[in-house]
Order: sequence, then structure tokens, then C-alpha cells
Amino acid sequence: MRALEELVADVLGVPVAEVDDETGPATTGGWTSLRHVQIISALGREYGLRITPRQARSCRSVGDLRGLLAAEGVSA
Amino acid sequence: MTQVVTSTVAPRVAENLNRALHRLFDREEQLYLLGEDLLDPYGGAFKITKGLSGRFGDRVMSTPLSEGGILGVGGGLALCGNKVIVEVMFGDFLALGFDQVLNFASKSVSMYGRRVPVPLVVRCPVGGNRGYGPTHSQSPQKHFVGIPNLTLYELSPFHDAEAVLDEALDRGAPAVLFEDKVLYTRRMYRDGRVDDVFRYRVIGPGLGWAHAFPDGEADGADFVVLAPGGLVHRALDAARELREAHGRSVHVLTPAQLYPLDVEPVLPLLRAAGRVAVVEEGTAGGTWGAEVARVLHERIWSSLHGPVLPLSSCDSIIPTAGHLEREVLLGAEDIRDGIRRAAGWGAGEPSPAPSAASPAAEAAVGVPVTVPKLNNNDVTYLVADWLVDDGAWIEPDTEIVALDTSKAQADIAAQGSGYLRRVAAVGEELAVGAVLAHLLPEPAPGGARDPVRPHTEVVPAAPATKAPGPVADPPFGVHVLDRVQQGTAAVVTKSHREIPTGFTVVKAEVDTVLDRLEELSEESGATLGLAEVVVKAVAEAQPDFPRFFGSLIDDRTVAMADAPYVGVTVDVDGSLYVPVVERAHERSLADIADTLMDFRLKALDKGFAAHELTGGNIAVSLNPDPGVVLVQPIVLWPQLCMVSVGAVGDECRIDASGAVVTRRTVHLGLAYDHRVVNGRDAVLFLARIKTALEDPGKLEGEPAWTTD
Repeated sequence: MRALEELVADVLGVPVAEVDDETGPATTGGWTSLRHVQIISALGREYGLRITPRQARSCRSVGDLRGLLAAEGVSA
Repeated sequence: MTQVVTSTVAPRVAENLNRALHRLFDREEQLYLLGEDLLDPYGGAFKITKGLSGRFGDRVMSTPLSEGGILGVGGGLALCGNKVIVEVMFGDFLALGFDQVLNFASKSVSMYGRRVPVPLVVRCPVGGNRGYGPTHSQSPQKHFVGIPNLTLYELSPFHDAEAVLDEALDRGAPAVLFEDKVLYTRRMYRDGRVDDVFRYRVIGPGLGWAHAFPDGEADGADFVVLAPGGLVHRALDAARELREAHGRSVHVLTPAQLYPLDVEPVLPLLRAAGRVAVVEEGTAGGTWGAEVARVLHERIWSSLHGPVLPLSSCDSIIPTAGHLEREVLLGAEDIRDGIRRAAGWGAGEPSPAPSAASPAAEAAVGVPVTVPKLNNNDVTYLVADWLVDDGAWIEPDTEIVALDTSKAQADIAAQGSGYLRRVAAVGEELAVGAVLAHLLPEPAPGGARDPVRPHTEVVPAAPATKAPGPVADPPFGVHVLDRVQQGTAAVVTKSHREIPTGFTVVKAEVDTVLDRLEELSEESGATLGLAEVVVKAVAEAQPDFPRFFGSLIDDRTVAMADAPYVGVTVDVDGSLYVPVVERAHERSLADIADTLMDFRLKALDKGFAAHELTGGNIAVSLNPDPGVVLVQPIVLWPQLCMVSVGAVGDECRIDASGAVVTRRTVHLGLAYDHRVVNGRDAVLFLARIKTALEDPGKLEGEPAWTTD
């Protein structure tokens, strides 16, 4: 199972070192609405989660994604 | 009992042609015939000219073995006011006379400043299935398609040869008559009768088209095969087999004139059938059939269920050995199989019921569950997943199987009850009406797979040329459209053909609304974007612009919608979907935002249900990628309008005090069906959306700016 940062870096096509909890659409130009959907979808597949549209809209940074995983009982 | 042979037997095609030549020579004093070995007693390689040299010796000439020479003399005689028929012993040898046909005879008609008659008909036996090998078996028709002033005919068992030769000579321009060798010994059809089952009629002016159809089904074709004379028997054999195996009505259309081809008289029949194949014996590549398909696609694309199916022989030389020749040349079974694949017949269909089916056999088969029609785009659907176990007891309305259409997945429910016996397998492509499963009154012994499972076929995307061996991967350099894109192609093609669109653009300043959206996103902790505002603004415009949400019933009637259903473009991985936001005027922005997010996730997983993709009465094209100024959309028939939104961009302006300020703007476009909406209406509509963006307070209704 990939670490969260690794997954996000893969989708965004950036080095994993550039991804931290602050990374999000507001900080990273490459995090477009399309990439956002791809990140959410990849997250669901990687960790076996069914993420609701509202949850998807509520994640506005890697920190938010980590919070979502924690709420679903996944540590990443 | 003695069988009395009567004179009512139809003549053979060769006899009909020989008689035609005799009659022509009786009538036409200026008619000449030139060719190799024509003179009696030999009478030509295929005896077509038998008896002519005895009766008309001074006008029937055997020539040296030089097709260039024969055709040069023939063209010259015709240019000097005579009528000339040249027999080329094998169509293959026409290559040696090609220069005379292309550069002399056909050019002479129009190279003298006035039209000069060149009544020259070149007759040539063509085709294989005789074991004559690579250079005596070819069908060179395709090499002569598209030469100005040159008309191409093909001998057929339906068309009287005298009428064909008469018309060819009376044109006053050169013509080639192709004569399939295998036809010579076949009988002519006459009196509208082909056999016990098939009848025929001639439609269209002049020589027209022969239309062969099962008795009593002249107007009810399921599939139409366009077959030149040489392919008639093979096409009819395929039609008979498909009738027996599937109960389908396959018709055969045979033109006397191959090129230029007058398709007009047969268009109504082709439109009604919606499925068409063009067959020919020529080898693959640059074929006559491709030219016919091009013409038909231009004329009746929107009436076709799928592209015209061109069937030809292999891309190969024609071998001499019989078993290899059969591999290469297009046969009845290739036509049958090609049609079956293209139409999806036999994919899961039950075999024809045995004539003496016992009640026990019926009980064992049970009640069939068949593939319903799910949309107008697809001919077949893919079996995606079984939702219940084989052998399980099924109550009415239980969803038992999921089918993939080109755009969505649909769960199919059983109508009745019974023990399920699956017939179709996951991954199979099935046509409407094909059997998915049976519901049995008793559990099947051992719950085993259906022992009498009918033969099923997987439908490839584009069957075309006859290919020996298994179907290969698409060749390098070719891209086959996937099902989603094929669905898109069908809709935009119909729109492009049928909708005369206008297009208008306005620019809106979006600083205020973007700031407000940012605040709301912060407050609620969930992102809100411009897309949901546009969707809501469009929906709220419906009461004031009802026609924009309608659809045309006929030339002067617009069906109005009772509520706005706004389609939005979603393309996250190269597949375009237009799912529908229902009744957005009644919903909060957050709710619409959730719906749009849901659509994006489903597009990525190809997880749309059919109902989510249907019922839109207007559409919005969203193009937020940085730098996009605007997209001009294609109105999605049967809708009348499509709004497009470009990306947010920065621009500098001089404000009222003379200071330079930066503003964020988007361009809003509207493509509209100009039959219903005029430019001024379009501007008013866009102004309404612009106002909603520039002054968000104008977005009516309390739920607009709430966030849940």
C-alpha cells in the first residue's frame, strides 16, 4: 500500500518530497479540479474506501485527506 | 413418369448475352465487335460471341493479342461515328489496355471543345472460383471507378443484357461491362421470381436496381446487401441462411450500373432497414464498396444503425489451388457471418425451435429473459456482471444482470419468477432480444450450466475485409473508437447534420462571485465552484426562456419542458459524458456541487446509470482548464441550446477614476438551434446568466447561497 504522500505525488506528477500536509489546490497549481477527482478516486481504490462526493469536496489539502482516512479507520 | 422439358426454362446468362449481341447486330448496321479468338467455330474463350462471325463476318474481327491495340482501334472506330464492342478475353488483361481507356477513349469525349460521342463498350469476363490463378481471376472493377466519362456496368441475372448493352452504347461515352464468369452458366431470373422464397422487382429509372426479397416482405428489410451481379448468388445464399437461422429478412439490391451509382431510388429501403452491407469480389483496399459506403454515409448517416459494412475478398493474390482460392475470395459464408456480426444476430439468440419440440423440452428451457432496448445509440450491449447466482430462485422484479451500454450500466430485472439458468456470459456483446437467461419452474439438475446453450458470438467493433484465420488486433496506425466515443459520434453527427446553429459570446466579470464562493467554501469546509453557479443560473432562467429548454417535434412545433434538466460535460479521462443535473432551480449550490462531484467520480469509474445520462433539456459545457478562452459546443440533439463556460482569466481595465484595475472574467457562449432561437434571444439569455454571475444576489431563492 502506498503512503498517502506517495499517492498524491504520483497523481500530481511531482517528487514525493514536495508533498506535505499543507499541499492542496491553494498551494499547488497542478492540483486542478481534474487532479482532485483523480486523487480522490485513487485514494478510494488504494485504501478500499467509498468516498462520498461531499467528503471529496471537503478535502482541500493532504492534511484533510489524512483526516478523512483517519475517520475511516485507516492510518497512512 | 416422363419429365417434360419445356421452353419455359429461363435462358442461361451466357445465352442471354449471346442473344443480345445477335439482336444488336441485327439492328445496328454501324456496330463492330473486336477481340481475340472471336471467330467461329471457336466463338471466343467463353463462347459469348458464338455465331456472330458467321452472320456478320465483316463487322466481327479477331485481332492480334494486344489489348492496347484492340482498344486503340475500338476507340478510334467509335470516335469516327461507329458503335463498337470490344471483348477482352480476361478482365485481368484490361490492364494492358488501361491507357487506351483512361487516356484516349474516355478523354476523347470532352477534349475537342464540344462533346464528341465515343460509343465504345468493353466487355470482360472477371472473377475467380474457377482455379485460373492470380492473373486470370481478378475483379478489376475498382481500378476503373472514378474516371470521368467512363461508366461501369456489371452483368446480372436480373438485367436483360440487351437492355444493358443498348444503354451503354447509347450513352455516347465509353463503358466497361464486367461479366462474372461464374454467372455465364447460371439461369436468368424472370417474372419477378428468384426461387420458392425470394421474389424480385426492378426499382428506379433506366436499368434500375433489382430488389430481391422474401415473398411478402418487400418493405420490411432487417438488412440490405448491395451486391453487383457476380455476387448475387452468394448474397442470396447468405440471405437464405440468415432467414432460416434467425428469421430475419435480408434483402439483396443489385444495380446494373456500378459507377456512377444512382443510389436515390433505393435510399428509402436502406433508410428503413438501417443496416447495409456492400459486397464485392475485388480484393481489399480502395474498393467499389468503400465508395458506395462513402456515398451512403453522406446521404443517410442518421438513419443507419451502424456504418455500412463493406465486404470484399482478402488483401491477397488469388491462388490457383481451389482450397486456397476459397480462402481468399469472398463467399456466401463470409457475407452471412459478416452480417451476423454487424447485426448482432446469433449472439445469444435461441436456435430456431425444433419443429417437434416436446413439452418436456420446453419445460427444461423455461421462460427466457431477453435483452431489452435501453437506448437509441447502441446495437448491442455488453454483459457486465451477473447479480444473482446461477440456479437461484428469482422473484419478479429482481435485478439479475447488469448490462453496459456505450455510456452507462443498466440492471435488468426479471419479469417473472423461476430458477435462474444463465445463458449469456460476462463479457459477451448481445443484441436487443438476445436471451440472457431462462427462468425454470424446477431447479436445473445439479444447477449445471445450460447444456443446450445456443451458439453465441462475440461482436467485434468493425468487421470488414474477409481475413483468413482469427481476427487480428487492429493494425498499426489505426484507432478503433471505444463505445463511449461511438455514442458521442452518433449524437454529434446527427446534430451537425440536422441543427443549423448560431453562436453568441458574452464576457462576465466574476470577481464578486469567486470571492463569495471562496468565503462559502471556507465557512462550510467544502469547495464550491463556478460550475454549480452556472448550472443553477441556467436552470433558473427556464421560466423566462422556456423555448431554450424545448425540443423540436416537427418543423414548427417545440415541445416545452416542465422543469430544467441541465446536462453538464464531464470528461476526466478521455471519455465524454453529459450527465444531467435534475431540477437545479430547487436545489442549493452545495447540493449541486455534490452532484457534480459525484458525476466526476462516476466518469472516472465508468459508473453512470442510464437514467443519469438521459432526460437533459439543455446542456452546459464546462472548460475550466487554464487558458481556455471559450469552446464552441455542438448542440446535443434533440436539445436546442448548449451553454459553454471558458476558464477564468485575468484582464486589466481602466476604471471610472482612470486607475488600472485587474478583473477576473469568463466568457460565456451559447450555441443555439437557429430554427427556434434567434440572435437577440440568445443575447438576452446570456445576459441573464452574466447577471447571475456578476451580481450573485440576483440568483433567486433562499437555497442558493446556503451550503447544505
